[in-house]
Amino acid sequence: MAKSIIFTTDILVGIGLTATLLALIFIGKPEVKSEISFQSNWLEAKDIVNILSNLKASSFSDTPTIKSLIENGTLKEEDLNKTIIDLIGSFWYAGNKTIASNITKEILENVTKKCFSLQTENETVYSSCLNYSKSISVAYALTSGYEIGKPVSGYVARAWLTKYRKNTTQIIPFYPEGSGWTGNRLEVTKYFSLPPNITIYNATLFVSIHFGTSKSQAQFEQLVVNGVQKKNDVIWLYLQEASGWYGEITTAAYGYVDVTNEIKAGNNTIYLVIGTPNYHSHIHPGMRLIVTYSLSQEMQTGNQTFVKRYYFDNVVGNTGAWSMVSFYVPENAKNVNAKLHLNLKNIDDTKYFIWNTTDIEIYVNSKYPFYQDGINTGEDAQYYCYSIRKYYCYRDIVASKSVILDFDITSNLKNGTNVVSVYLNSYGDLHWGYKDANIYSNPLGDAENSSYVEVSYTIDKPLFLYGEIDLTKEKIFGGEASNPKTFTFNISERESKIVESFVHIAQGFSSTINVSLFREDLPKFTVFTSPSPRIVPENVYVYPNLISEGENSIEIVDFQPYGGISPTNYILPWSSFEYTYLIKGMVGYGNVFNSSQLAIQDAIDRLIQQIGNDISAQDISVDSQSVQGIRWLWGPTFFKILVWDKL
Amino acid sequence: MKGILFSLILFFVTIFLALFLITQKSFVSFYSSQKAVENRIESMIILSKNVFEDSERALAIIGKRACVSAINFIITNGMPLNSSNETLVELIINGTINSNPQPLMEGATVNDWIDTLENLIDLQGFQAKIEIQKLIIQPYDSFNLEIDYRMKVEISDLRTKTNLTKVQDRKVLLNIEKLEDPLYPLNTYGRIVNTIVKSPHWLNYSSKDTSNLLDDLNNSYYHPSLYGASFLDRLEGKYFVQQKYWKKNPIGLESFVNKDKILSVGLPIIVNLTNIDYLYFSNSNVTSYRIANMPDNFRLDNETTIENKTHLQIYNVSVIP
Repeated sequence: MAKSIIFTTDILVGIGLTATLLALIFIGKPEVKSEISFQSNWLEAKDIVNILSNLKASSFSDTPTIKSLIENGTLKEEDLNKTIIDLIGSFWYAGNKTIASNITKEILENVTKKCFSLQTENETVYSSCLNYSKSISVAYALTSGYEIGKPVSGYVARAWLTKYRKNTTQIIPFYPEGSGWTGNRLEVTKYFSLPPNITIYNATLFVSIHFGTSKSQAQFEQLVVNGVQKKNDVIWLYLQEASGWYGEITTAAYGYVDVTNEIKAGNNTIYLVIGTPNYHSHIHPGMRLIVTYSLSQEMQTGNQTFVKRYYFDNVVGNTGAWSMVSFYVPENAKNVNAKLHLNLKNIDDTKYFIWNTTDIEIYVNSKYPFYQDGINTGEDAQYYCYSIRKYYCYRDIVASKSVILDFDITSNLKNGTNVVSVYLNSYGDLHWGYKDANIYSNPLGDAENSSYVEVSYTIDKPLFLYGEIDLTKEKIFGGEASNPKTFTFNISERESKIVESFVHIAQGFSSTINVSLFREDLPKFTVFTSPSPRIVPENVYVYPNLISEGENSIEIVDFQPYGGISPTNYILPWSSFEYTYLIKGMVGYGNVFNSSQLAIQDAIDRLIQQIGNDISAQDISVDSQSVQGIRWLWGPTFFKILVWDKL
Repeated sequence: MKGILFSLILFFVTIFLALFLITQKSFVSFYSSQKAVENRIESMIILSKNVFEDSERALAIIGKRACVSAINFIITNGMPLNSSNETLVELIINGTINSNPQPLMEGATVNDWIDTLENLIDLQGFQAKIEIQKLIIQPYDSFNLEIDYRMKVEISDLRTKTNLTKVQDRKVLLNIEKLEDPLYPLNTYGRIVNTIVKSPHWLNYSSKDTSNLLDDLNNSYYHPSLYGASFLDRLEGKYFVQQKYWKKNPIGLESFVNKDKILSVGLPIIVNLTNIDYLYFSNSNVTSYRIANMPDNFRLDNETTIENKTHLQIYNVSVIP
C-alpha cells in the first residue's frame, strides 16, 4: 500500500515536473522565435525604406511599368530624377493608383521575398500577401507634397486686360468770369474736347450765373450747346436776389439742363450770353458740365512728366471782362514751372489827365496784383476818375488796344489749388470802358493764340502703373443750401486708391471761401482759402492722401474778409466731390489647378470680379499666362512599409 | 530509498531546467526591452534622417512657389524687388514680401512645414523641435538657384528618456525654367511675357543654316551668358550680373528680344539695337550688326559672352557688311 502510494506520488511528481518543463519550453521558445523574426523583418523594412527614399526612378527604368511610361512619354527626364517614393507618391496622389501600385510591386517584389505592404494615409498602395501575420515590422518614410484627393502639382495663371471699356465721368468746369460794370452783355464761349471713341450716357450742364435786375427781368439770353438753343430747357433750382448799395436788384441763379443729346464725342462748344442793365453779369462758382460716358482704352502706364494747359474760356464782356482760372499742382510735384499766356483784345486804353491808368490787372494766388499796366490798382481806382456820378466813374478812353502778354508765374505757384485772375477794364464796382473787351481763347481752332496757363512738373512715380485703370466719379453734396456746409461721404475699399480729387463749389453769392477736410482720425485740415474776396474757384484740389477708406467730411465756409460768416452766401447742395481712383486691371497668380485651361479660366473669373461693373465685361480683351509644375506643400505625410513572414 | 533519490534527482534536474528556462526567458525579455529601446532610438535616427531628406523636398516646393510669388509681385506692381535673394528668403520663411502676405505662399512656408512636421512626429510618440538656422539663396548656374540652409533637428522620446540632436548643412537646387522672366514685362509695360526656356539649340548654330538661331529668336529661348542679368538680377530689374551675385562660373542669362512681337503690342522698337535682351532693354551703346539669313530687324553685337567668345562667334553667324 505504502509502495503504491510512493509510486503514485513519484508518478505525480514526474508528471508535474514534465508538465512544468514542457510548459516552460512551450512558453519560452516562440517568444525567442518571434523576436528573431521581428528583428529580421524590421531590418528588411528599413532596407525597403532606404531603397524607396534614396534610389532614383532611373535605377528601375527597366521595370515594365516605368519602361512603358518612358516610352509613351508620360515620364520625362526630370521625372526619372525623382526618388522611387516620390514617383509612387506622384502617381498615387494624382489618382493614377494602378500605376503607383504596379511600380511598387515590380520594384519591391525583386527586393524581398517576405510579405510587404506599402501604405500611406491609411490606404494601401500595394500589398504582396493577402493575410497578415501577428508579428509585423513597420518602417516609415516621410515625404512632403502629397495629400489624399489633392493634386500633386498643377498650373497657376494670371490675367490682365489689354483693352477695355470703362464707364467714367468727366467734369468740364466753367471758370467764374464775367463782364465789366454796366455790362449789358456777357458772352462766354467754352471750347472743349471729349475723347473721340466714347458713348455718352448722360450730359448735364449745371448753370450758375449772376444776371438780370430781378428774377422776373432776368437777362438770360442764350445758352447754345453745339448749335442747339437750350436756354428754355434750364430747370432753375435756386434763385436768390440781392440789392447792392447801388440800389439795383440782381439775381443769382442755379439750375441745370440735360444736354445729353447735344454733347458729342470730340469737339464741343457751349455759348452763353447773359446781361444786366447796370451791374455786372458773371458766372458763379458751380457752373460745370458733367458727362458720363463709356470709353474704350488700351492699357497704359501713367506719366511721370506732365505739361498741362488750362485754357481760359473765351470771354467777351461789354465794357470789361474778367476770368479766374484755377488749376492744381500736386503735393509731390518736382521741377514745377508755369507760364501764363494771354491774348487780350479790344481793351479800352484809359487815361486820367496825363496819367496812363490801369486797364489790365492780373492776380496770381494773391490779393496783390501780379501785373498791372498804368498807375493805379483796383482799390484806389476811384481816385483816378473825373467824377463819380452815382457809381459811374469816367476816364478818358484814348484808344483801343490788343495785347499779348507772357509771364513766368513759377515763383508764385504753390502746391494745391492755384488761382490766376485776369481783369480787363474791370475796376471793382466802378465802371469805365466802352469796347467789347475780350480774353481770347479757342483751344480747338486756334490753340497757340489762345489764352492759357501752362503748368509742367514731374513726379517720382507714375500716377498709375500698367494694369491700373482710372475711374472718375462725382458725389453731389445734397441737403439744404447753407453756410457753412458740411458734406460727409463714404469711400469704399474698392475706391480707396484715389489719385486725384476736387471739390466743386456751387454758390449763389460768394465772398471768401475756406475748404477743409476732416475725418475721425484727421483733425480739420484746410486745403484752400481764398487769397482775397471774390476769389472762389470753381474747383478746389484736395490732396488725395487726405481721403481714405471709410467716412470723410468736407466743410466749406464762406466768410467775410474781416471775419464772420457771410450770412447769405450759401453753399448750394449741388456742390460736389469729384474723385479719380484706380482699380487693378490685372490679377496675379491664383490657386493651383490641374490644367492650364482651368487656371486661366480662374484668372479671368477673378479679373472680371475684380474690375466690377465699371468696366464693360463683354469688351474686355484678356491676355493670360500660366506656369506649370507648381507643387503643393501638402503633408508632410508618412509612407509606411509593413513587412511580415509568409504564413 | 532509490525511488526517493531518483525523485530528488528528477526534481533537481527539473528545477535546474526550470531555472535555466526562466533565466533564458528573463534574458530574452531583457534583450527584448533593450531591443525596444534600440528600436526607438533607431526610429528616432530614421525619423531625423527623414526630416532632413524631406526638408530638401519641401524646400524645392517652397522655393519654386517663392519664385512665382516674387514674379507675381513684380508684374502686378510693375516694380522690381530691392534685394531679390533676401525677398525670396522672406517668402520661403514667412510667405511675405515686405511683411505683406503673398497668396501663393499661404500654408506653403518653411514655418508651415515645420509646424506640420512637429505635429506629425508628436503623433508618432516623439517630440520634435526643428529649426532652420540660416538660409541663403544664390545663383548656382544660369538655370538653377542654390538654396543653402542649416537645419537643427531635435527629437526626444519621453518613454525611453532619450533624445537626439542633429545639425546639418544642406543644399537644394532650384530650376528656374518655365518661370516668367520679369525683365520683359518690366521693360514693356507688362505687355510682353517671356518664359524662361533653355534653348534646345545651344551651341548648335551654323552660319549657313540659321534655322536654329531663327527658332531661338522666334521663341526668345534662353542661353547662358557671362554678363546678362541672372534670374536674381532680373527680379531686381537689373540688366547685368551684379557684383553681389557674381560667381566664377557663368550665372547670367540672355535671350533674343523678338522685335516683331514688341511691335505687335503697340510698342516702338529700336531696329539698330542688338537683339540680346539685356543690351536691348538697357539701351546699351554697343555696335550691332545685321546678320545674314536673319530677319531685317535682327542685330547682334560683338560683345564678349561665355567661353571667351563674342556673340557673333558663339552664335556662329555671318555679318552683312
